[in-house]
Amino acid sequence: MSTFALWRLFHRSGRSSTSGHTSVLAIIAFAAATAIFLTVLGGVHGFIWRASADHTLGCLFDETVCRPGTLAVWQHRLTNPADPASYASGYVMLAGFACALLVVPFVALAGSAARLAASRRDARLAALRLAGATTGQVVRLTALDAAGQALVGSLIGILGYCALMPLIMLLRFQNQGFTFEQLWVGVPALVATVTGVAVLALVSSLITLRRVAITPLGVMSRAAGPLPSAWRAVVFVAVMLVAVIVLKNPAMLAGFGMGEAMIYVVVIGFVLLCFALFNLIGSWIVTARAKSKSRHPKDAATMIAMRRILDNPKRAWRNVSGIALAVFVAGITSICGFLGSASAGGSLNDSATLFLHDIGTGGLLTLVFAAVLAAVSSGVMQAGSVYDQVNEYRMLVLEGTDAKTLNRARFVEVLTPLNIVVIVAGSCSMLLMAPLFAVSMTEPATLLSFFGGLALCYALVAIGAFASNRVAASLNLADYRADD
Amino acid sequence: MDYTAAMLNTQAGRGVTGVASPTSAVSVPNTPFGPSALALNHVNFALGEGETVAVMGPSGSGKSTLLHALAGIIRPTAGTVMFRGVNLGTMGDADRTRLRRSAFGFVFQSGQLLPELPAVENIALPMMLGGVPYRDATDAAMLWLERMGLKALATHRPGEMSGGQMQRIAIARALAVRPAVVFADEPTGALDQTTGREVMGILMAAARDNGAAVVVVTHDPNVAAFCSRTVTMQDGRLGGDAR
Repeated sequence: MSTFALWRLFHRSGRSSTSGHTSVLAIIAFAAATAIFLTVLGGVHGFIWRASADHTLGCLFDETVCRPGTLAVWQHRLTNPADPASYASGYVMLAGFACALLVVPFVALAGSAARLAASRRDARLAALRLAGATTGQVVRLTALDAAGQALVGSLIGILGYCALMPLIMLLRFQNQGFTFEQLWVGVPALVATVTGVAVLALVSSLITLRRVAITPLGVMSRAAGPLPSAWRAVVFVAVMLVAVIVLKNPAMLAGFGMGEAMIYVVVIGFVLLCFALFNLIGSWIVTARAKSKSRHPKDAATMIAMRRILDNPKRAWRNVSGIALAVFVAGITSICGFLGSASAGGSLNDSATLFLHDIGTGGLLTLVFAAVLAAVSSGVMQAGSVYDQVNEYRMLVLEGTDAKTLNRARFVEVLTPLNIVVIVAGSCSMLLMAPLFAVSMTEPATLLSFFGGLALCYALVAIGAFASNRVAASLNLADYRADD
Repeated sequence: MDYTAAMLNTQAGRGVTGVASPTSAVSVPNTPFGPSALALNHVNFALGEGETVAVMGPSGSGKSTLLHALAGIIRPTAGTVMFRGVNLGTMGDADRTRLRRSAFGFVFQSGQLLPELPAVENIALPMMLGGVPYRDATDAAMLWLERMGLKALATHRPGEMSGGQMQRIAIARALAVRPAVVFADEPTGALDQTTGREVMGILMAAARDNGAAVVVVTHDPNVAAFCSRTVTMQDGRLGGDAR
């Protein structure tokens, strides 16, 4: 039997409701990820449109391919210091930077969705194996399923991108609003995004399937890997120290013969490196915290939550890893936003001031997008785990566990890594920024913006957790064998 | 113990407790019972202090529904379930949940242990749900593990245990709160005969030592033989005592 025929058999009506629910969750996740990615890509496109003499990408990098006559007009604009065009390439670079930063939570969300699509079909996959399907067929079937859901989700995401566009048009950068022409990424980019999301889902699901053994008797997880070791923390602290020293003495880099542009690259590079390393140590810190709390849990909900975190610290970290980026961005942009408004002296006509002000606005947007991606990721994973553990929940409810305890356990399971992320990422971003902008950091406007960003992260993740509780509430946990 | 049940009728799928919508099992078309089939019909059942009763009968006869009604998981559509002078049918969901947690213990066929918790915490869980501090609950759980001969498995998780070991942990968990009644639904259904006998012996001995009554739903006459009384169910009606 071909894999496609098997797929059709697998998707005949009467399939289990849990499988259907997780499919919907995966599609929602893919749709959210695609919509936000395309919106950010649209912003990058808008800045390229503005920075290019004839509004094309080719002309931005190679002036010889610009349409005749456009270059002269553009160069005339560049001679006017009051014209925001003088900072246009800086806008493109920063928009690209924001886009690159969002790749992390985007991949995390798409990966979560793919894992969701590939898992939680245990009984049906095992039944297929029992009926004679080979491991290869079942793996292909599951991977195709994930890719199919990614395809559907990304197509819905395109609609979301179109729906978000009027809102983005309300935003003002370089003292002007965006137009449809600027934000429309074009059909080839849409096709590439849909294909990329599908491929990402395919790869993620295949990686997930490597960790489980689908046998005719059931789907078993392979032995869990060892908990993350402490050397990661040592590397992280060492790099942080070097980064703080370098950022405190940028002149030191000039001493190595670096130009101004190179110094900027090194500074940004260190910030990115610290962020990357933070992701590396995230699961280690989460494990350490959960271990310490699991020694003397204050109640049953905390005990269950800590044991679930320790069962799979990587999953716990992934649920909130997008927030780490959001907090990093919140730290950086709160300072830029303050500098922009402080140096404006009441006027946004000066293009340098406008640039700083726009960095603040752009950073805030990146923060919102990262927080939304993280919240969707966390909510989807939580809802998925509700379906995953429905049998254990049912048994606990029959034995007299109230739903409140189970909901609280799920919330603590998310809140513990979230608190760690906020404390560590917030401290790191402030530590890295301190040498550069120490004075601005104590300003009420900076602090207000920073803590406002943190509050937004908590609020969005809380909404995700609330949504997963609604999913739990919709389950029939007191179900029983009505035929007996 | 004053524990009686007089259910004129109970429709499966009605009066389900907990966070629930009407169960799908009965509303499915083409079920042999139809959407309003009576799972229990004119059932009178009384359970004495420390008594052990086996409920036998063919599939679909209403054994599990009887067990769920006795445990306050479902409410009979007509009739009463009295436990220590209180009608479970008039109690709110929260009160019945509390009652199940404090006065009843449950042993199911399989899958009732939380896979993430080690054995000692699985046993401690119901005590902690009742407000016992972690240290006291785990100390008591260790005593139960010792009694079951499973002390060495204290830090092992269910996935690292055999079926028989898991059932012994489930029995310890059910009895750890010192319940008045233990409800066991096919407790040996997933075990081989030798292990099943061993598990039933442990369940009955532990329940007797704690003064708990036991209601066992089973298909297996060998399991029923461990009980002092056996009742049979047929088409939702309780037949005469087999012994």
